[in-house]
Amino acid sequence: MPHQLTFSQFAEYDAGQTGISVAASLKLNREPVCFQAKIDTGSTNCIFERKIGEKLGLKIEEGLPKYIGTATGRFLTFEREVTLSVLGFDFDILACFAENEAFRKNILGSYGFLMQVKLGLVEYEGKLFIGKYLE
Amino acid sequence: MIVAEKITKKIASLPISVQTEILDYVEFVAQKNQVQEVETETWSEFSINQTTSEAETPSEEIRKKRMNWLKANQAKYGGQFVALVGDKLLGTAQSFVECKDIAVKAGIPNAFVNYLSKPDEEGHLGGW
Repeated sequence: MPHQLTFSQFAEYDAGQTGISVAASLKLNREPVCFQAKIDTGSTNCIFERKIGEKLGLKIEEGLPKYIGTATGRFLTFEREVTLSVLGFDFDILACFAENEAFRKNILGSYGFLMQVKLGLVEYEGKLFIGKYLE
Repeated sequence: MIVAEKITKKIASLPISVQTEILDYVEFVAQKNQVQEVETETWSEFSINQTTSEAETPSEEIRKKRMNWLKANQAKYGGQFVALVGDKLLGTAQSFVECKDIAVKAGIPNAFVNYLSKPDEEGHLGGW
């Protein structure tokens, strides 16, 4: 039995790179900070580099502390409210900013992103379909 | 003759006791209307705040208030989704969709709806 989903946006990503990278930005009330982020269905949270938060003018440690576990240990982040923009959609989210400057990943995880969208993926062709869940 | 003059003339012809009753009634209606005007103004200001500025880019002040609320209430409401308007709690739910529904039913579809972790809750990083 066939199933059909509809998406309001479509994007192509470089399937030759590791993972699904998309253009994203974070903003407060000033200029947005743009970067590449990876969609990660295994991550509970949206997690970003410390320097991105600092570019936004955030004092990272004033956020809500939250540890993020990995296969080999855990690291500290602080949750701050920011507006995340991905493929034309805006989300007012609690984003985790890594305390450690050495953390150099930008992750779009479940809370704040995946829970609010529906995704269609054709990995072989590098095609990503996306729509807001509650549209 | 204008209406007000007609009313005044008519009332003046009535006994004092009836005039007093009418005066009490008029004052009561005036006070009631005043209250309704204040309520209407408050609601319309509230609605405008939530459907425009709150929805688009919350001000630094709102974000700051909200962060203070999240910190102060993490122990109480952590582990569920919270719907906030500024730093006022609209409701909580176990899922994003349920919590969003609370906001929609309250007439504030663009309220801040997010998962609030428990104070000691650990998140997980996937394959990266």
